Amino acid sequence: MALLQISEPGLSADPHQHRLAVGIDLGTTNSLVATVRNAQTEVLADHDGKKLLPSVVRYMPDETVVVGEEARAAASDDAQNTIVSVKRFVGRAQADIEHHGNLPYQFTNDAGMLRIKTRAGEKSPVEVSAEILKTLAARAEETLGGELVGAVITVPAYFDDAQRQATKDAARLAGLNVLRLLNEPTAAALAYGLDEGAEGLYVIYDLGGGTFDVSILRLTKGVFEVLATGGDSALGGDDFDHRLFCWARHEAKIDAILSADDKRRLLMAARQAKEDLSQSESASLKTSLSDGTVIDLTVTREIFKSITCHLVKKTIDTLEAVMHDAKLNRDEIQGLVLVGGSTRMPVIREAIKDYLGFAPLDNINPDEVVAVGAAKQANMLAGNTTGDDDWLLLDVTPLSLGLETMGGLVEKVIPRNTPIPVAMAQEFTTFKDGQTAMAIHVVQGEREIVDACRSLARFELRGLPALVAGAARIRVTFTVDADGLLSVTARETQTGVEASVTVKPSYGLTDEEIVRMLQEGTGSAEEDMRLRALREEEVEARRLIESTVSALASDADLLSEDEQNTIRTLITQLLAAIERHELDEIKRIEEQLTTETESFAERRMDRAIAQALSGKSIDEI
Amino acid sequence: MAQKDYFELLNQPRRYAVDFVSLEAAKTKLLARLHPDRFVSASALEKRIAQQLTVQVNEAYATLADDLKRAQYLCKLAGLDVNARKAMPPEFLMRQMMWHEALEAAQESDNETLRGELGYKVKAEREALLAALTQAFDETSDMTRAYELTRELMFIEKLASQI
Repeated sequence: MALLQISEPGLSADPHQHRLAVGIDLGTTNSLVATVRNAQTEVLADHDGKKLLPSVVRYMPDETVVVGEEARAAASDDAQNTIVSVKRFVGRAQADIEHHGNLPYQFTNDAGMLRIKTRAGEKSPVEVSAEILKTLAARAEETLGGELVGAVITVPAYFDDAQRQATKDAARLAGLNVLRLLNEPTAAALAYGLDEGAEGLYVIYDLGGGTFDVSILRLTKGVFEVLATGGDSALGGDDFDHRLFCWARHEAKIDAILSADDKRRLLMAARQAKEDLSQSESASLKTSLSDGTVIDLTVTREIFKSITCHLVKKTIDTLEAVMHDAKLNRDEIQGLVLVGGSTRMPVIREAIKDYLGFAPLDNINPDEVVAVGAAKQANMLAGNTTGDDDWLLLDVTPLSLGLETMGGLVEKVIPRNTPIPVAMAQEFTTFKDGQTAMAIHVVQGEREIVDACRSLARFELRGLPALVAGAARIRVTFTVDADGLLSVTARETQTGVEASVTVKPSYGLTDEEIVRMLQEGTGSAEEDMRLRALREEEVEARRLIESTVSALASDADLLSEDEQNTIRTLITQLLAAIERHELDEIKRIEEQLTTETESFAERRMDRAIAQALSGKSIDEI
Repeated sequence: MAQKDYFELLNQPRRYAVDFVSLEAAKTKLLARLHPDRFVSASALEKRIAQQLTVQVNEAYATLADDLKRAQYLCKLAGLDVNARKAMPPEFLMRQMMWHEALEAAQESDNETLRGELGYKVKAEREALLAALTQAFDETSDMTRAYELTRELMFIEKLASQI
């Protein structure tokens, strides 16, 4: 592959051309890719007809990478180099990883960034995730016979900003254009709502391999609105495995430190036993360690229930808290939808039934529903739908966002469950006389103390006017976009001094590293960089031209004759610059055209608002 | 871009009494048209404007749909700052004190019935305030009264959250 290609969405002579877009469920245990083809949503299978791709990545001695079932099968023979459940490490620091003593990996900390030591070097969870995404993208392109225009990638609703950014970076590394990061429960609700024609208040209870989300949505005709969401991004089926792992060690009296391979063996046996218990009252937990020790235990549903009851209770407590946030009673809920393989466990279903007073719905495939929802959204965002039946997904930010203030406290700027996109501002002032700079520390979480929250970014606002303490007025604006990603600006209102930061996690890859990896992937250097930049700029320029042309076709009456002529001239010039592939020229004219069409765009939006409210079409106004 | 006031944006009459159904419908109609998901393939300019407008619609709805925020907003539109440290009438301060005492009593006694009773009283007080606010804003256009009532509502909401 010579160059990473970026398709040009939205630019097609044929309005009926179907754009290839997919939904990807990047799960802890299994990943899937789905698409809408011939008005049907399909989960795509591999050559063996298997739809689920185990989220396992193995770095081989011959420097190749194996992803999926093959890697999983060899996991206990080469545990250190076979990364299982990488989603648990994405956007995290080493200190965040629980049970890491039970895991067969050697973690390192590189300037706060988590890395896993493998024979292929120290790998970032972002890189490992990218391998899974690459495999799925390849599967899709092969099956569909063309290049993907983009993908909707799902993330747990409770993923924080660092975990979301890291996921987006993994997609970038895999060469995917991310149309939207979509919350998993919302994706499931979309699939369920569209396929079942459901309306009313629904709870989505999503327990996966490593993450837990509860979302409450109001489903009405064409609108999917999240009312509240909660969860735990470090709670899932794997934790139930770990309980059995510890129980087995205790029962079999194994005190010695286990090798990496043995840890993996025992974890896999524990998982198997757990899964078997979903079908029968008792199961066998059996494995042989490398020193010949045989572990042969029988675990019953009762034992399993007692050793995992605190985990189950955590999920029910979260469900209760989310219902409280949404200000709803149990009798107002239409139904609870189960999502994620771990909801197959009888202990979960019983606990839910006990709490709700009625049985959860399980008439959908808990493994596929998230990918299906993501595929439907991808199909719409890529522009394949007519617009008449388009739905609206209204999501919320799951965790409060705030700033550190004096004394190590947190001042919340955006509370959790606020509908996104959102922008909120808060005014702060200086502490000392003559203070000319302010350190802004952005955090995420519900606690009042800064140390108990997730640190997202730090930056400084310099050049403040030297005033008496408390006199300066610094306005800090938090903006969360539709992907749930945060950006922050700080502005001293009297002088206009400004600073901003795109919130980038400390627990991922730096932009430089990503660029370097992309270059390494294509095997070339600077040449590719420039071509890539040129290509991206051309895509953006064409978008601007297309939207301006279509705007002139429908709303030219909002412009004077002179304004129209100026714009048309610039369009011609821009097209010429694109033909000549002159990057600087393209940028320059693009900027001019943007400036020229800015107020036109605003006027058109005003008109669109009026149209939307009156429900009339443009012809009628 | 000139920022519309929230009532204008959501096509609602500038009043305290609100038609929640109409408000919700307006929000949905606007979001269906302006949401960033409708501009995934659009130019950077359009994306930016779409996001700004969507943010405004969300903000407008959150303000107008909440009884307290709506009252505060109407005060703001009339040039009155509800956060100003303005002296309140003595009867208001007296009532505040009584409410504080009742809250303390309920909290100290650990008596569920007492808490329940206080909860009911607060709820009733809230209802009365909402009715009075509607009258002050919409019927008599008495902004001084409306301002005082808004301050009272702020106090009651805070109290309610502590029960």
